[in-house]
Amino acid sequence: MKPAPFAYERAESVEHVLGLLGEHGDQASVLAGGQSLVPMMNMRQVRPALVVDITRIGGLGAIEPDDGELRVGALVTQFALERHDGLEPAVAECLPYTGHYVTRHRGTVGGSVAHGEPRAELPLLLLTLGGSARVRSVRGARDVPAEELYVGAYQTSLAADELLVHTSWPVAVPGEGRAFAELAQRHGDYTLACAACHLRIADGRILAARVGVGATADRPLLVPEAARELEGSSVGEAAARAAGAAAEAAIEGYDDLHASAAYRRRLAGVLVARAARQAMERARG
Amino acid sequence: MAEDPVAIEVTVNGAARRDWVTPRLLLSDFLRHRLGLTGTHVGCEHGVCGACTVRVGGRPARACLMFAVQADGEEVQTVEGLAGEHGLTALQRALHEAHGLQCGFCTPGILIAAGDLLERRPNASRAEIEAMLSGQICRCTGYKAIVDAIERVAGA
Amino acid sequence: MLRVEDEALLRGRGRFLDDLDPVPGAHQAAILRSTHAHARVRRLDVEAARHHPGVTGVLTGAEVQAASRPFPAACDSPIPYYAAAAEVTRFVGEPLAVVVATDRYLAEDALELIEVDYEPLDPVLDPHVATLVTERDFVYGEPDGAFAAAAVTVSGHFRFPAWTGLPMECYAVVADWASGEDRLTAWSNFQGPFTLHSVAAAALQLPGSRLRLITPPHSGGSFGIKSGVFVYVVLLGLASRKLRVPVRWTEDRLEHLAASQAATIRTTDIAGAFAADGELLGVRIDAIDDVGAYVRAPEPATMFRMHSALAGAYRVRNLALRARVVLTNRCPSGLNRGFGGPQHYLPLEGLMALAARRLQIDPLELARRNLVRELPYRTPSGGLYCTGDFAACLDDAERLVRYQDRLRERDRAHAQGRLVGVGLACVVEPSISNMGYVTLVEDEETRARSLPKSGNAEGATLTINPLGGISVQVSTTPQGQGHATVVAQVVADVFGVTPGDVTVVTETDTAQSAWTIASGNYSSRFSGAGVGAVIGAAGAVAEKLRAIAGAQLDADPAEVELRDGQARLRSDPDAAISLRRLAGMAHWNPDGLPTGMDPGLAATVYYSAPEVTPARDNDISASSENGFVVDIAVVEVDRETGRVSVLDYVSVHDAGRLLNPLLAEGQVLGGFAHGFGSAMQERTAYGPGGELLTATLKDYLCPTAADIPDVRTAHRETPSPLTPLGARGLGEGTTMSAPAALHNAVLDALGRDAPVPLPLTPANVWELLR
Repeated sequence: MKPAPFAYERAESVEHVLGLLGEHGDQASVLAGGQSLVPMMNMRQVRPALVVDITRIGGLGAIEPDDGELRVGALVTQFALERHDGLEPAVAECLPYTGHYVTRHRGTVGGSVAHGEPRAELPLLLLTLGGSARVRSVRGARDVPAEELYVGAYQTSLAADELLVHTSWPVAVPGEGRAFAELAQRHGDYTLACAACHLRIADGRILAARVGVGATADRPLLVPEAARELEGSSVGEAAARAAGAAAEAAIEGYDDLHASAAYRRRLAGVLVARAARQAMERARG
Repeated sequence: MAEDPVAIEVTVNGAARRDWVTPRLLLSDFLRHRLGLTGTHVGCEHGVCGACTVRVGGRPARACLMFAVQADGEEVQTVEGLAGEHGLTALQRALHEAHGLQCGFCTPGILIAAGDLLERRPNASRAEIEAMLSGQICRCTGYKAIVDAIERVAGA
Repeated sequence: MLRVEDEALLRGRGRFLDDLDPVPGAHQAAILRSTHAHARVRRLDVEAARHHPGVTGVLTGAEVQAASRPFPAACDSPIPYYAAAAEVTRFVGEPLAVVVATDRYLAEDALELIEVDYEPLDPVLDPHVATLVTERDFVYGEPDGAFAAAAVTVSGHFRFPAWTGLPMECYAVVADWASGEDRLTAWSNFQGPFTLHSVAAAALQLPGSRLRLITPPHSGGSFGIKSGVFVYVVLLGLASRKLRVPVRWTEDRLEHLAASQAATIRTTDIAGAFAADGELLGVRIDAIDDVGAYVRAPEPATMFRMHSALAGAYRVRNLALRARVVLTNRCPSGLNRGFGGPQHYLPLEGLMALAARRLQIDPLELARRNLVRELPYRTPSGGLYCTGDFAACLDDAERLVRYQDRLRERDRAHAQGRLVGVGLACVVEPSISNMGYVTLVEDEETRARSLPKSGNAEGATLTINPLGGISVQVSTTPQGQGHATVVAQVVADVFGVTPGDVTVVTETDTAQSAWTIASGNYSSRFSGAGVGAVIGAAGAVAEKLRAIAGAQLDADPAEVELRDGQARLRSDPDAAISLRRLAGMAHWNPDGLPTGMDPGLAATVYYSAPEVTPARDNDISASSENGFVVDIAVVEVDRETGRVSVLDYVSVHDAGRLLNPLLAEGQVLGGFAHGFGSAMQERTAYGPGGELLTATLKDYLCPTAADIPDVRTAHRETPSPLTPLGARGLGEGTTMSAPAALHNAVLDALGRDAPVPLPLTPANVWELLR
């Protein structure tokens, strides 16, 4: 179980990466933490002709506030984010489920978002919170809203020459609450389903809501049907249950070794309700 | 652009090592078969079992998920670099005393991962220890003795 | 006593096979494996691979089959089993060719250049329509009468799912064929010469003396799985013979998950006849063992391993067993921790739980009414439960778990709409297998024509060198169990020295070690058979030392005791000679030895466990010893998600005398982890087309530290009169009991009257809640 041969370039700067990606396109793979890419290379499921190692370039490792958002450099490790002071509780909640202690030390936030694993936690959170990804290429820079990021399993809307340089995570304002819930069959491994909820309340009513689910399709999904159940409802158990039921009804799910589509639908519904309860709790402050 | 060998220099357990490696050579194979540091064990080569865990640049890493070329210029610590001349580390002693190893194949990875946790969280709770260990598979012990041993050091 | 094995392992100085270069210049092999569960191989073109840079050569399945004989097994099979497939491949991962190169990376590159043209054939995965290899019916007492007299009949259909021991170290072999002399030396992490040395030699058409198997000092776990490495000893041996280079192969995890060795999948229909008061009057078992694509030795042994404990811990004497063994298109099965026990106790103990519900008798009470009461007890099928007190163990478990409190908590939880359940398993844990039990696969007539088989013999060699140092070599091939520690401890006691004065060599070399057809690491045989040989060898040398010392001190050797590194007189401790001096005398001055004494201070002694005689008719004492285990599990099922949490778990054992309580606890908890995994989350899964769904450790879910609940243990140490130190095996009992106890607890939580399918994953359990 050894990787196929490849050429290796250690990038010195973002511009260097962009140049290499511009030249080699889909023949090249960007290597950051490597916690998803290298297993696939070892199994020869992917075999890039060129591996562009971006781990040594500067400027992509910062976590900083940016106009109501938290800007997280692509190379910030999952571990560093987990330990970040004052981190959004929903993000803090999902990180322990993201791989394991050791893999989080190398696995990056940018890598997780760009990899597009349909069961992964960070993409679901970014989507539910309404975050975005900044991508660059020799052709220029653009911000991709999380809604437009995923097009299929392990497939993003990034072009082959584009590099994700940071992600932006909207920071909760008073009255907002977010939460994440997951059930994995084994700690730290592929989730059976996960859910996130982001809502804003005032005077005991839910003004706005976003609900997302993971591991029920080929990409993380927003569930507007569930959000609609929350919006306009009074804060409380009934709203959470209604959101869960709506999510269960709206989701298709899929069968695999570990669970049936019916189970995934139900579980996603249960987790949506759990996340909604917790988010309401948080929104009430 | 070719798969030509690259010269690297890695400081392993304090000693500088120079070699030529093809880019695809895994760090685990480099340590074991080039440097003879066979204490780093290979259990899955896809990052799940944790047996090959080493420290690179002061951070724990699966050696099977890094290419040796990525360790160029870095400090690498393996299980062989843990105990000094004065005997075993507190964690090694605790694992011995609690019977926290049987076949010993997973032990090097656990020593590195748990050592890293204890360095960052000297008073780590049992739950934190178990969460950390969930990435290190052991098939012999049922884990309790391993958790006990790490907890003993955390409580010391 | 702490383990002597640990220091090297903790320092990263273990010596596992992949760490060693036992022979210079070994080339590296990679194996081409079938991607189909069942297919005709129309064409296998290795030309491009052969010419790839760095490639030494290629060995194809056709060449393997031309150069070897099928592996023999205890029963005939319609499908011969070779180390590689040629015309037809029968499971995903089956070897088709071996590429040997200067480096593993290059060998894997060349593998991709081999062109295989498969013609897919229908795979068979359902044991009910699979190829039948053997079928036997056994009847003890009068089961028909028992069922006719029953007040209540209870039945259930159970399937013990596919799983595997999954050691953390995979298989490894270095094979070196000496061409001039037709001799194969193979280093590998096999787990005993056992019968499998003979099986491999037969396949290679070599006299046993020309197949030399050597184990390295350390092996990274096995749990039975590494018995299957013999297949690769043959495969790589043939590669070395053809290519005239030593060949090294280290299995990777993908190969391991696909093709190393499975636990036997058993489907059981069981029925029990009960009197109104709960007395179990008769049991009928209809069991089908799916051994995978081929009968790989020691299969079909899984079916018969528990044969003398057919009724487990219960006194019922009317028993019927229909035993069938079938072939499917899965990875072949073989030894796996618990071997036959988990598969046997899930239906038997599941039946008791179902019966308790049906009869409205508390499960502990039902067990108590049926447990074997007086030991020694001869089971209907020929086993001997020698000593112990089953009811007392049950009482211990009841107290330890606070059973009545647990029932009250369960009922309170139910009243609140929560699903809490309590489950019991009572398990007779056999140890030290009878080498003859697999002959039950033959009818009496056929069996009478072949060599009688019995016993479980082991050898050990003890040597004292000229400076008084003590060395012991055993053939028990430990894989983490701490044999060296126990041997050092036992030998130190015999010679009156400290364990640190005893060097234990656990590497087995079939050209040098004292071994038998039974030697190896399985059926919890070390503490009985392995230690028996060690004590025999130590006793023989100690007797010699006492005789020499007696002559020197002018005393009766019976007056000499060995203590504190000396031989001295009991009556006069000042009359003493150091061990070192005695050893020096024996080595330097054979002429001065007592008249008639042979020179040398060494002994090789073989020991065979008692109570393991050949099968007679349908009776067999399948194991020399039988311990007893009672487990009680308390679980909660999350109504919303189907997730099962273990709230409490107790395990009470009577494993006789514990030779080392620390190691004993390690064995019990480790055994539990395997039982827990097989019950809760592990499974080897195939899709409808036979494709392997659990190809990586991301999908084959062995438990982690965050999954395993706390287990509280207790021991009742009734010494065994059958083993030299009164110990019984204890490494497998909890692997047998945990699946049954957890199953029964979930059954109770759900209030079901039919078995719960394993594994008890959230999705599986939720299906029952819908």
